[in-house]
Amino acid sequence: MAKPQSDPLGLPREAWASRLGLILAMAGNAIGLGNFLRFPVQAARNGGGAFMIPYFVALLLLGIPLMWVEWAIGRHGGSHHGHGSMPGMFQALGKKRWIKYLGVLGLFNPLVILIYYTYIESWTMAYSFFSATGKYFGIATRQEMGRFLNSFQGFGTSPHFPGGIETAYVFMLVTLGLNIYILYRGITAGIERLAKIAMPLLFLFAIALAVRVLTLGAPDANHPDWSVASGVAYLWNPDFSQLTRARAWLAAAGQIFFTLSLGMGSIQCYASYLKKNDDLALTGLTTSVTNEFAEVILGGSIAIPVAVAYFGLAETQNIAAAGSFDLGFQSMPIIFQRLPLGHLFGFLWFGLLFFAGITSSVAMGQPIMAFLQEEFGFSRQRAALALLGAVLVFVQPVIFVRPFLGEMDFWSGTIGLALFGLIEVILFAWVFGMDRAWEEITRGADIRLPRLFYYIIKYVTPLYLMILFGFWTWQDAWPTLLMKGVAAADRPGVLWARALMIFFMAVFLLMIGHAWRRRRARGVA
Amino acid sequence: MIGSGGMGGMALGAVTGMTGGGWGFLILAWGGIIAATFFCFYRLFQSEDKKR
Repeated sequence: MAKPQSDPLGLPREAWASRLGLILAMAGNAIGLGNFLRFPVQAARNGGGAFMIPYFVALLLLGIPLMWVEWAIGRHGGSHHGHGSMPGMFQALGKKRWIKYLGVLGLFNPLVILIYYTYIESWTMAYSFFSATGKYFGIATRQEMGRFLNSFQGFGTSPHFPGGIETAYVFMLVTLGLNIYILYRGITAGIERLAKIAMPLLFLFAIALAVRVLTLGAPDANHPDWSVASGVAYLWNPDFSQLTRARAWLAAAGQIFFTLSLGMGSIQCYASYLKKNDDLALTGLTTSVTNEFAEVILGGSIAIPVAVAYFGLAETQNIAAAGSFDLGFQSMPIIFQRLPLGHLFGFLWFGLLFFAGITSSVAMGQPIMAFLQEEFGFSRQRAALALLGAVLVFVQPVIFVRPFLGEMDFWSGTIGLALFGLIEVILFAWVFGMDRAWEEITRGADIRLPRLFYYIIKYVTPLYLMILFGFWTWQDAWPTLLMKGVAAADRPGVLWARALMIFFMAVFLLMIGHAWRRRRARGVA
Repeated sequence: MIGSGGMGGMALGAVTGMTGGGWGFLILAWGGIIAATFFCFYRLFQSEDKKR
C-alpha cells in the first residue's frame, strides 16, 4: 500500500500490505470484549431503544470526529516525521518542546492496559478450551461457577484446579507469548496477517451464535415468558424518560469512547504506517461502522437475549448489575450447559472473545514497539523482548494481588483515555490549527466530508470530551482516589498499584527526554 | 476494549414483548448500520478499482 518511509533514525519504516488489511487491523483494534459484554447492558440500563439516540449523537459528534483526528495525527506523524508513537507525533504538531511530553499518555495508557488486558484475554482462551473439553460442565449454579472462576484465578480452592493458579498462569504465558510473537513479526507479517485470519473468524463465530440465540424461542417450558423475544424487547423497547437524565447521555458517550478504542495511541500508531496522500476519511469511517456492526447488531443479539431466555428477566438484571465478567464468565457457561451443542457454542463464544481481545492487545503493544524502535534504535526482536520482559514482570502483581487490575483499569482504561482524547483534540484543532487539521483529514479522501465536521472537531468534540472527563473526575475519580468503599485489607494493594503507575509515568517521561537529547546530539530537531 | 465504568443496575420493568417503539428503534439502528456498512465498503472497493 505504501512504500517504506524512514523513521527518525533514518531506518525504513514498515507499511500496510493492503487497505483491507489495514481496515481489518483497525477494526480488530476497536472491536473488543466491550462490544459483546458492555454495550447490551448499557443500552438496556439507559433507556433501551431510546439509548440509541444519545448513542448515535455521541458517535457523530465524538466518536467519528475523534477517530478522524487520531488517524490524521497518526498519518501526519508517520508520513512526514517517521514517528509511530505519540511523543513524536505531538512534537510534529507544534514547536514548543514540552508538547512531546504530553504524549506520555500515549505510551502509559497502552502499556498499563496491555498488562492486565493480556491476562483477561488469557481467561477467554482458557474458557474456550474448558468449553470444548467440558471442564466446567456439571456446575449448575452461578455461585458455583463463581467459585470455579475464583479458583481458576488462584483466589480460592476447588477440586477443578488442585494446582491453584497453575492453569491460569500457563494460559497467561501462552497468550502473552502469542501477542509478542505477532508483534515481533511486524506490521504486515504479524498484525495484518492476524487481522486477516482473526476478524473473519470473529464475525463467523458471532453470526453463528447470534443465529442460534435468535432462533431459541422460549427454551424452558415451565417459564414461557423467559424467551429470546423478551430479551430483545428488554434491550430495545424505548424508555424515553431516561433521556431526560444526564446519566444516559454520559453512558452513551463513554460507550462510544471505549468501543472505538479512542485515546490510546493505537489508532495513531497504525495510521502512521500510511503514505501522506492515502485516504483516511473513508477508511476511518469504514472502521467505525464495522465496529458498530459488531457491537449493535451482533453484540446486542447474544448475551442479554440468551440470558433472559435461560434465567428470566429479573435474574438477568441481577447478572448485568454484577458486571461484565459475571455475565461473560459465570452466566454464559451455565447457559452453554443447557444449550444443545453447548460445547461447540461455548467454544465459539470464548473463541470470539479471544479474537476480539488479541486483535486489541497487539494494537496496544505496537505503540511501545514503535517507540523503542524509532526513538531508541531497538531492533524489532529487541523491542519485542523488552516488551515481553516488562509485561511478564508487571503482570505478576495483577495476577497475585487482587486490587491491581481494577485500579489500573480505572486510571488508565477510563480516566487516562478520556484525558488523552481531550489533550489530542485540543492540540490538533487549536495548536496545530483547524485549517491545517482539516487539510490533513481531507487530503487524499475518497469521500467528501461535510464542512460541518470542521466546526464539530473544533468546538463540539473538545466540549463533549471536557464534559465527559469532568463528569468522570467529579463522580468517580475523587472517591476512587480517596479509596471510598475499599476494604482495609485491599488498601495496600491499591496504593502499590498507584505507585507502579507513577513509576511507569516517570520512566516514560525520562525516556522521552533522553530520546530527544539523543536526537539533538545527532543534530536532528 | 472493555473499559471500566461497570455495568451498574438496570432499570426494572416488566417486559413482555416488543412494542412498536422497540421495533422502530431496532429497525432504524440495524438498518442505518447495515446501510452505512454497505455504503462504506462499496465506496472503498469503487475507489480501489479506480486506482488500479
